[in-house]
Amino acid sequence: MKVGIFNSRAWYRYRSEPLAVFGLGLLAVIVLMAVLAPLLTPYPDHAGRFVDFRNTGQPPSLRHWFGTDLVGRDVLTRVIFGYRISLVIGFVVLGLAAPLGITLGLVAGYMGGRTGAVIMRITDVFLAIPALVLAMAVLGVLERTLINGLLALAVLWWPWYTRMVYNQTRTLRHEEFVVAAKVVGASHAHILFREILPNLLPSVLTKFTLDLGFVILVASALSFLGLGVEPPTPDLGSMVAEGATYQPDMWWLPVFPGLAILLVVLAFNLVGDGLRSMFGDGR
Amino acid sequence: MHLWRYFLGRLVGSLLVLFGVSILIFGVARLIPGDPARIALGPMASAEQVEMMRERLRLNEPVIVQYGEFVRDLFRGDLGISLYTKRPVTSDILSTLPATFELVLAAALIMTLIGVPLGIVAARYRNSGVDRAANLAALLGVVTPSFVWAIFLMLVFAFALDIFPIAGRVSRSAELPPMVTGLLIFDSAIAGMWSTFFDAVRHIVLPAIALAMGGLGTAARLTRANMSEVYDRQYVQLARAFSYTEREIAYKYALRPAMVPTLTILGLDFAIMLGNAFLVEMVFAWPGMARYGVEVIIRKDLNGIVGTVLVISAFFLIINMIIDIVVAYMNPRIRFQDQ
Repeated sequence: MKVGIFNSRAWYRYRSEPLAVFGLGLLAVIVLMAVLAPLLTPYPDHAGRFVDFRNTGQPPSLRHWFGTDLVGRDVLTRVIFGYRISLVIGFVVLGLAAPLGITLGLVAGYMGGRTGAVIMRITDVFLAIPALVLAMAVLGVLERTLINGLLALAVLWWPWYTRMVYNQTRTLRHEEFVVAAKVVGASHAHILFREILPNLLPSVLTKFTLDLGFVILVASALSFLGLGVEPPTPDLGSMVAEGATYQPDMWWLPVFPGLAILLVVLAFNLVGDGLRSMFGDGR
Repeated sequence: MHLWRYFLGRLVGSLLVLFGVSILIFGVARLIPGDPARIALGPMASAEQVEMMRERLRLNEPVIVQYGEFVRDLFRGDLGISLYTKRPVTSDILSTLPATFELVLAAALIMTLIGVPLGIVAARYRNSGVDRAANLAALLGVVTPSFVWAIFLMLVFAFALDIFPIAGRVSRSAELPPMVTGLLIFDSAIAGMWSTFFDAVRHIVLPAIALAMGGLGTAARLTRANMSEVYDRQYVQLARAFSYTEREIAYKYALRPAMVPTLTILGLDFAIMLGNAFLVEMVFAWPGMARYGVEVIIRKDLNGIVGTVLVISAFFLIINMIIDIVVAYMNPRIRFQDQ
């Protein structure tokens, strides 16, 4: 199999953007680290309820590259384990939000009329509340579990997909291939998912990739405010929040987890931008 | 004339959305597991006390009736009593809102005054070193959470270099001006209290930059993308052929059409800033709505949550309406679109 993805025209176009290639590499490293965390990290047991009072608050050194926290745990280990939960949150939230939002957008765009108007007005309502505030409110009233956190983020993310898919479906629904499918008696479901949806995949995929980063960013903001996963699970946002109280003396506590968030969001962004120019609707 | 009709249409639309928001958040707040009255009073309260509280919160009535009375109170500017501070939610919010507004306003200013010119420069010198540097800076702005910016800026400029104060809105020793607008910077300028004015400005710089960074990146990238598109148009080439200077082309021909889509997105950035203000305020101990908002949410304070979300959404809708009207003013095609 010499003619794989790496020989394709798409890859050739993707490769011509150095930043996109860098992003892909960065992303691969992060995902690998997260998957292999128990094998890679120097002190895997520090990810849980571990305490070593002789080693608290150590600055970065050769033994602890990112220093140690207030109970003597290795910050590097906890950052790498933090990536695990971040990535899971990103994929699960969008795995819930994107299909829901896309379906609603397709239906609203294709049906139009009253159904479309109702769906789009509901979408407007959700988009009128700043995402972070809505997530905070939902999380605030619900029990603070990981599942609820994921649900709260999914609740605020679907309208973006609905709006995007709606706009594109509106322009596609009078195209000849859709009319042709209608003439030969294709069902609505067939037209929506087999005729229209495939045309939207490039922009959906691009948005999905960019959003993976932004979901991680918002999730970290929620846990920064104390609305995230419960300790001792390592979570980048709550690590920053904890560390912020002890700056500037223990600057490494907030700085490294903060940089870690920045890097994963950056990676998804660069790959998303790369996909956009690969699909050819950029610039 | 047409602009007025457009404005009226947008106003009605915004009010409808706000109505929807009130239903949504009211519904969400009723999802609180357990008895909100019991949560507010604590485990020591007697059954009678809880019952009285339920009566006061109208929890014994059907949800529809509760909502109806809530809307009626809303028109009188009454958002109920906060179960956490035991004060009216309206006055709680009014006492913290100006500080948040001041911060978001300063951030929006920084975002526009730095982000847009950055995009203009990048578009004028496309694919040059300047363009690439601007792109990278914009990217870093977008991908870094505002609380991380806040902490980085604080570590470098407040702790290490000691150029700006560490936290708060004004020094403890500063004399406070009489309240006119509620915005400290304006009020102290109006009162001519310049030492307070400069003190307040020094305090707002770091939090405002931290808050602005995300939107600044977006503003720069959008301006660049939209201007680049205009640069490819034939009328720009025609203008070049008629030997207009590059500066004239940039500001006379390219900027205005490019600003229309940019402004719309900047409105959305405003929404993001309103949310992110919570994060930045927590880091810099800024006395705005954030602490209150987070407290009412953690304490499951029914009225507090509904009030906070409603006020922020109203704020957001107003800003967006203003932006839509500015956009319509700049682009007659939007003004006449629906006719």
